[in-house]
Amino acid sequence: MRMDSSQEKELLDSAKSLDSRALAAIYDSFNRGIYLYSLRLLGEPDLAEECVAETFSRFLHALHKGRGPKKYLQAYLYRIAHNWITDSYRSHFRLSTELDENLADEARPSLPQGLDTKLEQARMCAALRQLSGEQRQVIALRFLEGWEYEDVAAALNKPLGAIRALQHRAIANLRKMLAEDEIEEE
Amino acid sequence: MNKVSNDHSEEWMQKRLLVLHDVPGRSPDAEKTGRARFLGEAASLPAHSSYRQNLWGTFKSFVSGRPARLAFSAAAAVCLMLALLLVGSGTVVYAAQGSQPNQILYPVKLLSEDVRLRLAVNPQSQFQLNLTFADRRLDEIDKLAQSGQDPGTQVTDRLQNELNAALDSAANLESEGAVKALENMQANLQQHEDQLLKLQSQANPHAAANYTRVVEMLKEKVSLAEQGVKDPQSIHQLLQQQQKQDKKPFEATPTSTILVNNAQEATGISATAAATEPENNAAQCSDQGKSNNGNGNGNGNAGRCDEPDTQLTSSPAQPAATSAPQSNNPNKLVKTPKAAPDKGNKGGNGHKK
Repeated sequence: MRMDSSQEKELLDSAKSLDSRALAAIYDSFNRGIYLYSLRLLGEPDLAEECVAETFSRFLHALHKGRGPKKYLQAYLYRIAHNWITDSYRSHFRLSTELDENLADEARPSLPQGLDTKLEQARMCAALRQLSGEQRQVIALRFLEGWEYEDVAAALNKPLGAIRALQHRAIANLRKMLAEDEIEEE
Repeated sequence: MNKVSNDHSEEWMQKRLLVLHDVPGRSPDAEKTGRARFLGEAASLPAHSSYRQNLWGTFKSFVSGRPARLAFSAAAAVCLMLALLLVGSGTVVYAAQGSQPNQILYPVKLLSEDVRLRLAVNPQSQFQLNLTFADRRLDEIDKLAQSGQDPGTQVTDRLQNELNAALDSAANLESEGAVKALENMQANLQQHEDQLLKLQSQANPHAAANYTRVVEMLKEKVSLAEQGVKDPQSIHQLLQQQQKQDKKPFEATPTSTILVNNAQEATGISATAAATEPENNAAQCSDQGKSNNGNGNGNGNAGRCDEPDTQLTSSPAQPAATSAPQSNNPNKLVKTPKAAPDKGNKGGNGHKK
Protein backbone atom coordinates (compact mmCIF):
# COMPACT_ATOMS: atom_id res chain seq x y z
CA MET A 1 0.00 0.00 0.00
CA ARG A 2 1.36 3.37 -1.01
CA MET A 3 0.32 6.64 0.56
CA ASP A 4 0.94 10.18 -0.63
CA SER A 5 3.55 12.34 1.02
CA SER A 6 1.09 14.56 2.94
CA GLN A 7 -0.64 11.52 4.43
CA GLU A 8 2.70 10.02 5.28
CA LYS A 9 3.90 13.21 6.96
CA GLU A 10 0.73 13.53 9.02
CA LEU A 11 1.03 9.94 10.12
CA LEU A 12 4.68 10.41 11.05
CA ASP A 13 3.97 13.54 13.08
CA SER A 14 1.42 11.64 15.13
CA ALA A 15 3.64 8.59 15.42
CA LYS A 16 6.45 10.70 16.91
CA SER A 17 4.36 11.20 20.01
CA LEU A 18 3.79 7.40 20.05
CA ASP A 19 0.14 7.84 19.21
CA SER A 20 -1.29 4.29 19.07
CA ARG A 21 -3.69 5.04 16.24
CA ALA A 22 -0.93 6.39 14.04
CA LEU A 23 1.34 3.47 14.90
CA ALA A 24 -1.43 1.01 14.11
CA ALA A 25 -2.08 2.72 10.78
CA ILE A 26 1.61 2.53 9.88
CA TYR A 27 1.76 -1.13 10.81
CA ASP A 28 -1.35 -1.93 8.77
CA SER A 29 0.03 -0.07 5.77
CA PHE A 30 3.43 -1.65 5.56
CA ASN A 31 3.59 -4.98 7.41
CA ARG A 32 2.45 -7.14 4.50
CA GLY A 33 4.78 -5.50 1.99
CA ILE A 34 7.74 -5.90 4.29
CA TYR A 35 6.80 -9.49 4.97
CA LEU A 36 6.70 -10.32 1.25
CA TYR A 37 9.91 -8.42 0.61
CA SER A 38 11.75 -10.35 3.30
CA LEU A 39 10.20 -13.67 2.38
CA ARG A 40 11.32 -13.24 -1.23
CA LEU A 41 14.84 -12.50 -0.17
CA LEU A 42 15.09 -14.89 2.75
CA GLY A 43 12.88 -17.69 1.55
CA GLU A 44 11.73 -18.63 5.07
CA PRO A 45 8.39 -17.49 6.52
CA ASP A 46 9.72 -17.66 10.08
CA LEU A 47 12.66 -15.46 9.22
CA ALA A 48 10.33 -13.11 7.32
CA GLU A 49 8.10 -12.85 10.42
CA GLU A 50 11.14 -12.13 12.53
CA CYS A 51 12.21 -9.49 10.05
CA VAL A 52 8.83 -7.74 10.20
CA ALA A 53 8.77 -7.77 14.00
CA GLU A 54 12.33 -6.45 14.24
CA THR A 55 11.76 -3.76 11.60
CA PHE A 56 8.78 -2.28 13.43
CA SER A 57 10.47 -2.62 16.80
CA ARG A 58 13.54 -0.68 15.58
CA PHE A 59 11.28 1.94 14.05
CA LEU A 60 9.44 2.31 17.36
CA HIS A 61 12.63 2.71 19.38
CA ALA A 62 13.94 5.27 16.93
CA LEU A 63 10.77 7.31 17.40
CA HIS A 64 11.05 6.94 21.16
CA LYS A 65 14.58 8.35 21.11
CA GLY A 66 13.45 11.32 19.05
CA ARG A 67 14.97 10.04 15.83
CA GLY A 68 13.25 8.30 12.97
CA PRO A 69 12.31 9.57 9.54
CA LYS A 70 11.03 13.04 8.76
CA LYS A 71 9.71 11.81 5.40
CA TYR A 72 9.96 8.75 3.14
CA LEU A 73 8.51 6.49 5.80
CA GLN A 74 8.20 3.55 3.42
CA ALA A 75 11.80 3.89 2.30
CA TYR A 76 12.90 4.10 5.92
CA LEU A 77 11.06 0.91 6.90
CA TYR A 78 12.38 -1.04 3.91
CA ARG A 79 15.89 0.15 4.70
CA ILE A 80 15.61 -1.25 8.22
CA ALA A 81 14.21 -4.49 6.83
CA HIS A 82 16.96 -4.74 4.26
CA ASN A 83 19.66 -4.19 6.87
CA TRP A 84 18.14 -6.93 8.96
CA ILE A 85 18.04 -9.25 5.95
CA THR A 86 21.69 -8.55 5.19
CA ASP A 87 22.63 -9.36 8.78
CA SER A 88 20.51 -12.45 8.55
CA TYR A 89 22.35 -13.61 5.43
CA ARG A 90 25.60 -13.38 7.34
CA SER A 91 24.35 -15.48 10.20
CA HIS A 92 21.96 -17.91 8.47
CA PHE A 93 23.38 -18.64 5.05
CA ARG A 94 26.68 -19.61 3.63
CA LEU A 95 27.73 -17.21 0.92
CA SER A 96 28.65 -19.88 -1.50
CA THR A 97 28.93 -19.36 -5.23
CA GLU A 98 27.82 -22.90 -5.79
CA LEU A 99 24.16 -23.65 -5.68
CA ASP A 100 23.56 -26.55 -3.39
CA GLU A 101 20.41 -28.30 -4.45
CA ASN A 102 19.80 -29.56 -0.94
CA LEU A 103 19.65 -25.94 0.21
CA ALA A 104 16.36 -25.54 -1.59
CA ASP A 105 14.69 -28.23 0.44
CA GLU A 106 16.33 -27.38 3.74
CA ALA A 107 16.11 -23.64 3.62
CA ARG A 108 12.73 -23.23 2.03
CA PRO A 109 10.55 -26.09 3.11
CA SER A 110 7.31 -24.20 3.05
CA LEU A 111 7.15 -23.10 -0.56
CA PRO A 112 4.23 -24.97 -2.01
CA GLN A 113 5.05 -24.87 -5.72
CA GLY A 114 6.32 -27.66 -7.87
CA LEU A 115 9.90 -28.82 -7.79
CA ASP A 116 11.02 -26.85 -10.84
CA THR A 117 9.64 -23.67 -9.45
CA LYS A 118 11.22 -24.41 -6.08
CA LEU A 119 14.57 -25.02 -7.69
CA GLU A 120 14.28 -21.84 -9.70
CA GLN A 121 13.35 -19.85 -6.61
CA ALA A 122 16.28 -21.33 -4.72
CA ARG A 123 18.61 -20.51 -7.59
CA MET A 124 17.40 -16.89 -7.73
CA CYS A 125 17.63 -16.46 -3.96
CA ALA A 126 21.15 -17.84 -3.95
CA ALA A 127 22.16 -15.55 -6.81
CA LEU A 128 20.65 -12.53 -5.08
CA ARG A 129 22.53 -13.37 -1.90
CA GLN A 130 25.80 -13.14 -3.76
CA LEU A 131 25.17 -9.57 -4.82
CA SER A 132 26.42 -6.73 -2.68
CA GLY A 133 23.88 -5.38 -0.17
CA GLU A 134 23.11 -2.28 -2.20
CA GLN A 135 22.84 -4.14 -5.52
CA ARG A 136 20.49 -6.65 -3.96
CA GLN A 137 18.40 -3.88 -2.44
CA VAL A 138 18.07 -2.10 -5.78
CA ILE A 139 17.06 -5.27 -7.61
CA ALA A 140 14.57 -6.29 -4.91
CA LEU A 141 12.92 -2.88 -4.69
CA ARG A 142 12.84 -2.31 -8.42
CA PHE A 143 11.78 -5.76 -9.69
CA LEU A 144 10.14 -7.45 -6.72
CA GLU A 145 8.43 -4.45 -5.15
CA GLY A 146 8.01 -2.46 -8.39
CA TRP A 147 9.39 0.80 -7.01
CA GLU A 148 10.40 3.73 -9.22
CA TYR A 149 14.01 4.86 -9.35
CA GLU A 150 13.17 7.93 -7.24
CA ASP A 151 11.76 5.82 -4.41
CA VAL A 152 14.74 3.49 -4.45
CA ALA A 153 17.05 6.50 -4.39
CA ALA A 154 15.23 7.77 -1.29
CA ALA A 155 15.48 4.39 0.39
CA LEU A 156 19.22 4.12 -0.23
CA ASN A 157 19.95 7.83 0.28
CA LYS A 158 21.71 7.94 -3.09
CA PRO A 159 21.34 9.98 -6.27
CA LEU A 160 19.38 8.58 -9.20
CA GLY A 161 22.49 8.04 -11.31
CA ALA A 162 24.02 5.88 -8.61
CA ILE A 163 20.88 3.75 -8.43
CA ARG A 164 20.91 3.24 -12.21
CA ALA A 165 24.57 2.24 -12.06
CA LEU A 166 23.92 -0.16 -9.17
CA GLN A 167 21.06 -1.76 -11.09
CA HIS A 168 23.18 -2.10 -14.22
CA ARG A 169 26.01 -3.82 -12.36
CA ALA A 170 23.61 -6.01 -10.38
CA ILE A 171 21.88 -7.30 -13.53
CA ALA A 172 25.23 -7.94 -15.19
CA ASN A 173 26.38 -9.92 -12.16
CA LEU A 174 23.16 -11.91 -12.02
CA ARG A 175 23.34 -12.70 -15.73
CA LYS A 176 26.83 -14.01 -15.28
CA MET A 177 26.01 -16.06 -12.18
CA LEU A 178 22.86 -17.58 -13.61
CA ALA A 179 24.57 -18.35 -16.93
CA GLU A 180 27.35 -20.19 -15.08
CA ASP A 181 24.76 -22.20 -13.16
CA GLU A 182 23.01 -23.17 -16.33
CA ILE A 183 26.26 -24.27 -17.99
CA GLU A 184 27.12 -26.37 -14.95
CA GLU A 185 23.69 -28.01 -15.01
CA GLU A 186 24.08 -28.89 -18.69
CA MET B 1 21.11 2.12 -28.06
CA ASN B 2 21.88 2.15 -24.39
CA LYS B 3 18.24 2.66 -23.56
CA VAL B 4 17.30 -0.34 -25.65
CA SER B 5 19.98 -2.37 -23.93
CA ASN B 6 18.70 -1.26 -20.54
CA ASP B 7 15.15 -2.10 -21.45
CA HIS B 8 16.24 -5.58 -22.51
CA SER B 9 18.13 -6.02 -19.27
CA GLU B 10 15.16 -4.94 -17.22
CA GLU B 11 12.85 -7.25 -19.14
CA TRP B 12 15.22 -10.15 -18.63
CA MET B 13 15.47 -9.35 -14.92
CA GLN B 14 11.73 -9.14 -14.51
CA LYS B 15 11.27 -12.50 -16.18
CA ARG B 16 13.86 -14.18 -14.05
CA LEU B 17 12.45 -12.73 -10.86
CA LEU B 18 8.87 -13.63 -11.66
CA VAL B 19 9.47 -16.85 -9.88
CA LEU B 20 9.92 -14.94 -6.63
CA HIS B 21 6.73 -12.95 -7.03
CA ASP B 22 4.57 -15.90 -6.35
CA VAL B 23 5.09 -16.31 -2.64
CA PRO B 24 2.36 -16.79 -0.03
CA GLY B 25 1.21 -13.64 1.75
CA ARG B 26 1.34 -13.13 5.47
CA SER B 27 -1.19 -15.13 7.41
CA PRO B 28 -3.89 -13.02 9.12
CA ASP B 29 -3.15 -14.64 12.48
CA ALA B 30 0.52 -13.79 12.27
CA GLU B 31 -0.36 -10.26 11.22
CA LYS B 32 -2.77 -9.87 14.15
CA THR B 33 -0.26 -11.22 16.64
CA GLY B 34 2.53 -9.04 15.27
CA ARG B 35 0.34 -5.94 15.37
CA ALA B 36 -0.68 -6.56 18.98
CA ARG B 37 2.94 -7.11 19.97
CA PHE B 38 4.05 -3.92 18.21
CA LEU B 39 1.34 -1.78 19.86
CA GLY B 40 1.99 -3.44 23.22
CA GLU B 41 5.69 -2.57 22.92
CA ALA B 42 4.79 1.04 22.08
CA ALA B 43 2.53 1.27 25.13
CA SER B 44 5.20 -0.19 27.41
CA LEU B 45 7.80 2.43 26.49
CA PRO B 46 8.32 4.96 29.27
CA ALA B 47 6.82 8.27 28.28
CA HIS B 48 9.56 10.40 29.87
CA SER B 49 12.25 9.04 27.59
CA SER B 50 10.62 10.69 24.64
CA TYR B 51 10.79 14.06 26.33
CA ARG B 52 12.06 15.78 23.22
CA GLN B 53 8.97 14.92 21.23
CA ASN B 54 6.74 15.49 24.21
CA LEU B 55 8.13 18.91 24.94
CA TRP B 56 8.00 19.81 21.29
CA GLY B 57 4.48 18.40 20.97
CA THR B 58 3.42 20.26 24.09
CA PHE B 59 4.92 23.46 22.78
CA LYS B 60 3.14 22.98 19.44
CA SER B 61 -0.11 22.23 21.22
CA PHE B 62 0.40 25.32 23.34
CA VAL B 63 0.95 27.44 20.24
CA SER B 64 -1.92 25.91 18.30
CA GLY B 65 -4.28 26.18 21.28
CA ARG B 66 -4.92 22.45 21.50
CA PRO B 67 -4.93 20.93 25.00
CA ALA B 68 -1.79 19.09 26.02
CA ARG B 69 -1.19 16.66 28.79
CA LEU B 70 -1.04 18.55 32.08
CA ALA B 71 2.23 17.17 33.38
CA PHE B 72 4.11 18.07 30.23
CA SER B 73 2.41 21.45 30.03
CA ALA B 74 3.65 22.26 33.52
CA ALA B 75 7.13 20.97 32.74
CA ALA B 76 7.25 22.93 29.51
CA ALA B 77 6.04 26.08 31.25
CA VAL B 78 8.70 25.77 33.98
CA CYS B 79 11.42 25.12 31.39
CA LEU B 80 10.26 28.05 29.32
CA MET B 81 10.24 30.38 32.32
CA LEU B 82 13.68 29.26 33.43
CA ALA B 83 15.03 29.71 29.93
CA LEU B 84 13.53 33.19 29.67
CA LEU B 85 14.84 34.08 33.11
CA LEU B 86 18.34 32.92 32.26
CA VAL B 87 18.39 34.61 28.88
CA GLY B 88 16.87 37.79 30.33
CA SER B 89 19.29 37.89 33.27
CA GLY B 90 22.23 37.29 30.98
CA THR B 91 21.15 40.13 28.74
CA VAL B 92 20.72 42.51 31.67
CA VAL B 93 24.09 41.59 33.14
CA TYR B 94 25.73 42.04 29.76
CA ALA B 95 24.06 45.40 29.27
CA ALA B 96 25.04 46.47 32.79
CA GLN B 97 28.77 46.08 32.14
CA GLY B 98 28.98 49.47 30.45
CA SER B 99 26.90 51.31 33.05
CA GLN B 100 28.18 54.26 35.11
CA PRO B 101 27.65 54.96 38.83
CA ASN B 102 24.72 57.28 38.24
CA GLN B 103 22.87 54.77 36.05
CA ILE B 104 20.16 52.31 36.95
CA LEU B 105 22.05 49.17 35.92
CA TYR B 106 25.15 50.04 37.94
CA PRO B 107 24.18 47.87 40.94
CA VAL B 108 23.80 44.92 38.55
CA LYS B 109 27.32 45.55 37.31
CA LEU B 110 28.67 45.54 40.87
CA LEU B 111 26.69 42.41 41.69
CA SER B 112 28.06 40.57 38.67
CA GLU B 113 31.57 41.56 39.75
CA ASP B 114 30.92 40.17 43.23
CA VAL B 115 29.75 36.91 41.74
CA ARG B 116 32.81 36.63 39.54
CA LEU B 117 35.05 37.30 42.50
CA ARG B 118 33.33 34.62 44.54
CA LEU B 119 33.84 32.14 41.74
CA ALA B 120 37.56 32.89 41.44
CA VAL B 121 39.45 30.29 43.42
CA ASN B 122 43.16 30.82 42.86
CA PRO B 123 45.11 33.89 43.96
CA GLN B 124 46.20 34.75 40.42
CA SER B 125 42.64 35.02 39.10
CA GLN B 126 41.54 36.79 42.27
CA PHE B 127 44.30 39.33 41.83
CA GLN B 128 43.50 39.84 38.16
CA LEU B 129 39.81 40.32 38.87
CA ASN B 130 40.39 42.69 41.76
CA LEU B 131 42.77 44.74 39.68
CA THR B 132 40.40 44.73 36.70
CA PHE B 133 37.50 45.88 38.84
CA ALA B 134 39.62 48.55 40.57
CA ASP B 135 40.58 49.73 37.08
CA ARG B 136 36.92 49.98 36.21
CA ARG B 137 36.26 52.09 39.31
CA LEU B 138 39.12 54.38 38.45
CA ASP B 139 37.86 54.73 34.88
CA GLU B 140 34.44 55.55 36.23
CA ILE B 141 35.95 58.15 38.55
CA ASP B 142 37.94 59.61 35.64
CA LYS B 143 34.79 59.92 33.56
CA LEU B 144 32.90 61.52 36.42
CA ALA B 145 35.75 63.95 36.95
CA GLN B 146 35.72 64.86 33.26
CA SER B 147 32.04 65.66 33.48
CA GLY B 148 32.52 67.56 36.75
CA GLN B 149 30.48 65.10 38.81
CA ASP B 150 31.05 63.80 42.33
CA PRO B 151 32.14 60.14 42.42
CA GLY B 152 30.40 59.67 45.77
CA THR B 153 31.47 57.43 48.60
CA GLN B 154 29.94 54.28 47.13
CA VAL B 155 32.47 54.19 44.33
CA THR B 156 35.43 55.37 46.39
CA ASP B 157 34.72 52.92 49.21
CA ARG B 158 34.46 50.10 46.74
CA LEU B 159 37.67 51.19 45.07
CA GLN B 160 39.43 51.10 48.41
CA ASN B 161 38.19 47.57 49.08
CA GLU B 162 39.14 46.36 45.63
CA LEU B 163 42.64 47.81 45.85
CA ASN B 164 43.14 46.25 49.28
CA ALA B 165 41.87 42.91 47.98
CA ALA B 166 44.18 43.15 44.95
CA LEU B 167 47.17 43.82 47.20
CA ASP B 168 46.17 41.00 49.49
CA SER B 169 45.74 38.49 46.68
CA ALA B 170 49.00 39.65 45.06
CA ALA B 171 50.79 38.88 48.31
CA ASN B 172 49.35 35.36 48.16
CA LEU B 173 51.03 34.66 44.85
CA GLU B 174 54.35 32.88 44.69
CA SER B 175 57.25 35.25 45.22
CA GLU B 176 58.18 36.02 41.60
CA GLY B 177 54.58 36.34 40.53
CA ALA B 178 53.80 38.54 43.50
CA VAL B 179 56.64 40.95 42.75
CA LYS B 180 55.66 41.20 39.11
CA ALA B 181 51.99 41.67 39.95
CA LEU B 182 52.76 44.37 42.48
CA GLU B 183 55.08 46.19 40.10
CA ASN B 184 52.35 46.20 37.47
CA MET B 185 49.83 47.37 39.97
CA GLN B 186 52.13 50.13 41.16
CA ALA B 187 52.67 51.41 37.62
CA ASN B 188 48.98 51.19 36.85
CA LEU B 189 47.94 53.11 39.95
CA GLN B 190 50.54 55.79 39.35
CA GLN B 191 49.09 56.34 35.89
CA HIS B 192 45.63 56.73 37.32
CA GLU B 193 46.94 59.04 40.01
CA ASP B 194 48.55 61.28 37.39
CA GLN B 195 45.38 61.28 35.33
CA LEU B 196 43.25 62.10 38.30
CA LEU B 197 45.51 64.91 39.42
CA LYS B 198 45.07 66.48 36.00
CA LEU B 199 41.32 66.07 36.12
CA GLN B 200 40.97 67.20 39.69
CA SER B 201 41.13 70.82 38.66
CA GLN B 202 38.08 70.35 36.43
CA ALA B 203 36.02 68.80 39.20
CA ASN B 204 33.10 70.43 40.89
CA PRO B 205 34.31 72.18 44.09
CA HIS B 206 31.83 70.13 46.09
CA ALA B 207 33.33 66.96 44.68
CA ALA B 208 36.92 68.09 45.20
CA ALA B 209 37.14 66.50 48.64
CA ASN B 210 36.25 63.08 47.26
CA TYR B 211 38.83 63.40 44.49
CA THR B 212 41.46 64.36 47.02
CA ARG B 213 40.58 61.28 49.01
CA VAL B 214 40.94 59.12 45.94
CA VAL B 215 44.33 60.62 45.13
CA GLU B 216 45.47 60.04 48.71
CA MET B 217 44.18 56.52 48.53
CA LEU B 218 46.13 55.86 45.36
CA LYS B 219 49.27 57.20 46.98
CA GLU B 220 48.79 54.84 49.88
CA LYS B 221 48.29 51.85 47.64
CA VAL B 222 51.27 52.76 45.48
CA SER B 223 53.33 52.93 48.62
CA LEU B 224 52.00 49.58 49.80
CA ALA B 225 52.66 47.97 46.43
CA GLU B 226 56.15 49.42 46.56
CA GLN B 227 56.82 47.78 49.88
CA GLY B 228 55.24 44.59 48.65
CA VAL B 229 57.74 44.47 45.81
CA LYS B 230 60.48 44.25 48.40
CA ASP B 231 58.67 41.89 50.72
CA PRO B 232 55.29 40.64 49.52
CA GLN B 233 54.47 39.03 52.83
CA SER B 234 54.58 42.36 54.64
CA ILE B 235 51.45 43.44 52.80
CA HIS B 236 49.10 41.36 54.92
CA GLN B 237 50.27 43.01 58.11
CA LEU B 238 50.30 46.48 56.61
CA LEU B 239 46.77 46.01 55.35
CA GLN B 240 45.60 44.85 58.76
CA GLN B 241 47.19 47.85 60.30
CA GLN B 242 45.62 50.09 57.73
CA GLN B 243 42.21 48.60 58.32
CA LYS B 244 42.51 49.45 61.99
CA GLN B 245 43.30 52.99 61.06
CA ASP B 246 40.59 53.05 58.42
CA LYS B 247 37.77 52.66 60.88
CA LYS B 248 37.36 56.28 59.94
CA PRO B 249 37.57 55.70 56.23
CA PHE B 250 39.73 57.84 54.02
CA GLU B 251 41.35 59.74 56.86
CA ALA B 252 44.30 59.78 54.64
CA THR B 253 46.77 61.61 56.80
CA PRO B 254 47.32 59.14 59.62
CA THR B 255 47.15 56.18 57.26
CA SER B 256 49.63 57.78 54.95
CA THR B 257 51.93 58.52 57.84
CA ILE B 258 51.87 54.94 58.95
CA LEU B 259 52.44 53.68 55.44
CA VAL B 260 55.23 56.12 54.82
CA ASN B 261 56.90 55.12 58.05
CA ASN B 262 56.55 51.51 57.13
CA ALA B 263 57.97 52.23 53.74
CA GLN B 264 60.95 53.83 55.36
CA GLU B 265 61.48 50.77 57.48
CA ALA B 266 61.32 48.48 54.55
CA THR B 267 63.46 50.51 52.22
CA GLY B 268 65.77 52.35 54.52
CA ILE B 269 64.80 55.59 52.82
CA SER B 270 64.19 58.48 55.13
CA ALA B 271 62.21 61.61 54.73
CA THR B 272 61.42 61.59 51.03
CA ALA B 273 58.39 59.51 51.87
CA ALA B 274 57.21 61.65 54.74
CA ALA B 275 54.14 62.89 53.00
CA THR B 276 52.57 64.35 56.07
CA GLU B 277 55.68 65.85 57.56
CA PRO B 278 56.75 69.39 56.87
CA GLU B 279 59.15 69.93 54.05
CA ASN B 280 61.91 71.04 56.34
CA ASN B 281 61.78 67.76 58.21
CA ALA B 282 62.03 65.92 54.99
CA ALA B 283 64.97 68.06 54.00
CA GLN B 284 66.67 67.51 57.32
CA CYS B 285 66.20 63.84 57.16
CA SER B 286 67.38 63.74 53.63
CA ASP B 287 70.46 65.66 54.59
CA GLN B 288 70.99 63.37 57.49
CA GLY B 289 70.68 60.41 55.25
CA LYS B 290 73.20 61.89 52.89
CA SER B 291 75.60 62.61 55.66
CA ASN B 292 75.25 59.08 56.92
CA ASN B 293 75.73 57.83 53.51
CA GLY B 294 78.64 60.07 53.14
CA ASN B 295 80.54 58.81 56.09
CA GLY B 296 79.61 55.26 55.32
CA ASN B 297 78.59 54.61 58.85
CA GLY B 298 74.99 53.68 58.32
CA ASN B 299 74.25 54.21 61.98
CA GLY B 300 73.29 57.77 61.62
CA ASN B 301 71.01 59.43 64.07
CA ALA B 302 67.45 59.33 62.90
CA GLY B 303 66.57 62.10 65.21
CA ARG B 304 62.98 63.15 65.10
CA CYS B 305 62.42 62.34 61.48
CA ASP B 306 61.12 58.94 62.25
CA GLU B 307 59.49 57.39 65.23
CA PRO B 308 59.35 53.82 64.15
CA ASP B 309 56.15 51.97 64.73
CA THR B 310 57.00 49.40 67.31
CA GLN B 311 54.55 46.97 65.78
CA LEU B 312 56.65 46.82 62.71
CA THR B 313 60.01 46.22 64.30
CA SER B 314 59.39 42.52 64.07
CA SER B 315 57.28 42.73 60.96
CA PRO B 316 58.00 40.85 57.74
CA ALA B 317 59.28 44.14 56.41
CA GLN B 318 62.31 43.72 58.55
CA PRO B 319 64.33 41.43 56.31
CA ALA B 320 64.33 44.00 53.58
CA ALA B 321 65.66 46.60 55.98
CA THR B 322 68.20 44.32 57.54
CA SER B 323 69.47 43.36 54.16
CA ALA B 324 71.59 46.48 54.37
CA PRO B 325 74.64 45.40 56.28
CA GLN B 326 75.49 48.89 57.41
CA SER B 327 72.26 49.38 59.27
CA ASN B 328 72.17 47.77 62.67
CA ASN B 329 68.82 49.25 63.48
CA PRO B 330 66.41 49.02 60.60
CA ASN B 331 63.95 51.33 62.30
CA LYS B 332 66.31 54.24 62.23
CA LEU B 333 66.06 56.87 59.57
CA VAL B 334 69.05 56.04 57.54
CA LYS B 335 69.74 55.84 53.91
CA THR B 336 72.23 53.15 53.24
CA PRO B 337 73.83 52.75 49.85
CA LYS B 338 72.62 49.18 49.30
CA ALA B 339 69.32 49.40 51.07
CA ALA B 340 68.10 52.42 49.22
CA PRO B 341 67.69 51.42 45.61
CA ASP B 342 66.38 53.80 43.02
CA LYS B 343 63.00 52.12 43.13
CA GLY B 344 62.62 53.17 46.74
CA ASN B 345 63.44 56.76 45.94
CA LYS B 346 61.08 56.75 43.03
CA GLY B 347 58.31 55.46 45.23
CA GLY B 348 59.06 58.00 47.87
CA ASN B 349 58.92 60.78 45.35
CA GLY B 350 55.67 59.43 44.12
CA HIS B 351 54.02 60.84 47.19
CA LYS B 352 55.15 64.27 46.32
CA LYS B 353 53.30 64.30 43.04
